Amino acid sequence: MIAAIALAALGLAPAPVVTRSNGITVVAQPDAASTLAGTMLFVRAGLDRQSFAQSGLAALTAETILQTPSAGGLPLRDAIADAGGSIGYVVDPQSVRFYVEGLGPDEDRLLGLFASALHAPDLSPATVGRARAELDRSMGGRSALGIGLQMLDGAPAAGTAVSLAQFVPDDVRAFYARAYRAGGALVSAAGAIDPAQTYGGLASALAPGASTPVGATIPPVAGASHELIARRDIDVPWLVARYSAPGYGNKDFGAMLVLASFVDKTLGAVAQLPTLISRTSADSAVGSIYAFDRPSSNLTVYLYGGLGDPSQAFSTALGVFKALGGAPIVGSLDEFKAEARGRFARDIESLEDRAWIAGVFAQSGGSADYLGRTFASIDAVTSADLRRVARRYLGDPTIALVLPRQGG
Amino acid sequence: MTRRLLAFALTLGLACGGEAAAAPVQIDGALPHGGAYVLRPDAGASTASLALWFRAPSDGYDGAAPGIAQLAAASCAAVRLAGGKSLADSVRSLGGRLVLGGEPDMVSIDVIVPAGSARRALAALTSAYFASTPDAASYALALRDSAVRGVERRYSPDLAMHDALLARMFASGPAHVPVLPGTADAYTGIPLAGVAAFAKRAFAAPNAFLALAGAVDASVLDAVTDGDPNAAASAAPIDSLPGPAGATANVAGAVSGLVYGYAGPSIRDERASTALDFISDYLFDPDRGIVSSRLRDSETNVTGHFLTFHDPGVTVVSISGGDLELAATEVRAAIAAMATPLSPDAFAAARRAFAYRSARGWSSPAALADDLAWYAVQGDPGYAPGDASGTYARSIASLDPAFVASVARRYLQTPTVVHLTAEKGSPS
Repeated sequence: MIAAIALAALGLAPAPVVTRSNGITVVAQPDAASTLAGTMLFVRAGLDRQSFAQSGLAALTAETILQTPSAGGLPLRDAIADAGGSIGYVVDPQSVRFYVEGLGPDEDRLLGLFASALHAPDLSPATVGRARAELDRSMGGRSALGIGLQMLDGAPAAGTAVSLAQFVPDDVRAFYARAYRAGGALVSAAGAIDPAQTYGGLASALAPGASTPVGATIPPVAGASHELIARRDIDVPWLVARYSAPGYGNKDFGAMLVLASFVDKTLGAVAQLPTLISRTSADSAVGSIYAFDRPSSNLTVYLYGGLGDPSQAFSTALGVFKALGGAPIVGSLDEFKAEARGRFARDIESLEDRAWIAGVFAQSGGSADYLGRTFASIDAVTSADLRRVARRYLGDPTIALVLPRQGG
Repeated sequence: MTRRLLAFALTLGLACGGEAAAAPVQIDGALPHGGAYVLRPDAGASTASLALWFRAPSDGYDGAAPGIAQLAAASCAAVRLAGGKSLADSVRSLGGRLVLGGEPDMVSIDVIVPAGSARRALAALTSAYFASTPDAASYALALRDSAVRGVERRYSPDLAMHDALLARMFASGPAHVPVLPGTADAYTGIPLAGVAAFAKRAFAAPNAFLALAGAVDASVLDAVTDGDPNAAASAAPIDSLPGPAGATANVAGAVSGLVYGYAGPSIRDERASTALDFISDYLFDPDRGIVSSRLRDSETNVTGHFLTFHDPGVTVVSISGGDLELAATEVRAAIAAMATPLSPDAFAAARRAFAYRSARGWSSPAALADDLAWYAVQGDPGYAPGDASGTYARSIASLDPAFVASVARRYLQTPTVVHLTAEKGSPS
């Protein structure tokens, strides 16, 4: 009660409620102001459940569930759309997370459709074939930045056309049987939801027990000696650099959020972005991504060559970041903290992102109060913290260059 | 001040065929010296969104200064306020985002700040627009930013096509010229005195529509700056004069594309407007639209929207990348097919999907604030899809296959067509 009053005084959202029900963790963020309900299911069936030779199998299994015939014989994804909702999934290093969203009164019905397919996916050659075709199609739409990020990940989460072509339905069946377990599963729901909902349908759709990570997974690329180069049919180059970074449960999390804000500002300055307004089309061409929700957490910075020859500017920016460990940060620490708060808050505006971040924080075993915890960790950062964390993490990054095929 | 609760809950349940949902709170009211506000608090939101919008012609009150509205908006954002900081500085110091935008008939200033900062942001926002005058320093900063934004707009396929289309669809009025001219010269020709005079008239409190959404509550309204009690009254909605339909034009630009425009109903015809929203969603939703699905494996990008302007609304379909003519054939065939009623089952599924996607379109604080402000400026605030009255949800529920087909026959027959061709040296 006292905590709730304190949060209200700060203007912050109430903390999500975490319970255990039907053998899974349930995180609830009811919101009377929302007309939509969103439910995210984390299943421990992510990249660490597939071996190096199985690249893409986790994604193929998740996609097969969405291609499973549902109401009216339509694939689940289409059936949910026709019922007035949407479903999608993301394959993370440790989990695959499905997200179902619809108008509040429809959510139970949508979740019922999902639970049926989750419990008994159609693993016939036809359905697995449709899933493979869908993944193949999605690869064609990857941006040059996406290619750079995948190079640094070590392998694309959805596999490659070659790796996917090698899987047969029995591979998907075996992966599903081993990894789609209730152990470690978590439901995070937000919006126009019933706070008393226990999500028993989703829990019972998963087999009891737990899976374990495979011994040899695809390692992320790391190390100062790496400079990865790819050539694609693009007009101008993209430069991408990645640093290792602390995860959200680490004591350096707040300091890295503040450093990420400094990194963004520096990149904006070298790219000569407009100074008054905040968002322009140029914004998407330069920036940083702090992936703090995974074991190999990282900070990725990128610059698009359409703003002019990017190599000198990029080199200057990376030099500035490296120097941060030995010198005070230039600018107001309070402003960088404010920017870090704002950046974090903006990144979790959507219902899906609210469900995701609450689930991520709840998985740490601590409070799922992502906003309160993060703002507090940012507020506690000192200049000395920034230098220490910069020294530790912002040394030599691994760099990926995505260059035009012609003349490069 | 009014509170709208029950109507929205009931109509949302009606539209989606389920039980009534919990109702959001909406507070409508008047600003201290004219103008209106709408407040939609959401205790679960991580951000507060403040949308301050004005009715104003993008090319000035004499129609002779294309770009003046955006230049004036940027100038006010750069003026040093009483505390020594400009609005842009204040928003930055709060970790927020300041976004300027507009259409031919309106100017939008959006501020998004993290939870807990709405009050200070609102004070700076209203001071900058209700009680400041652009000066030489702010004007210089605004010139640079506006020129950059104008060039970026030329290279954005959708925005470039939008501007090129409206310029051909409308014979005169602000829609006949770009909101943001694409060359720096266009701005330097507008003197500071003209910018200041425009700002004084356009950004007067009585002409303002303020929408607040997300991590806000009614107490923040105390932070609104009073402004000039003798300021000009609210402007009426600003319409441009449509030209003859069916024209085709070839235009040189920075990007290539093909765009179709169909004049639609005024915003007062809510049912027909909703039907055109439905058709746009059914055909062009990026993930599920009929046309989007057919062209999914091509390199062509197609977008389609009904723009709910005061009078007339405009359906815009833009095609860029890949084989433009092949995509255009798909677009024309799909639009022509809408003149025939969908089967009851197909229509019911499409309407359910539309009701959900419509709600998703204003589900974030920033999107909701923009939604409420847009419809207020266009003259029909209660019809905003996100408005708590539930008018829009009722309008969706009222649609049937025969009516939708009749709207397609009436409003989607004779497009204005613009072929935009990239000049040599521009990326295609």
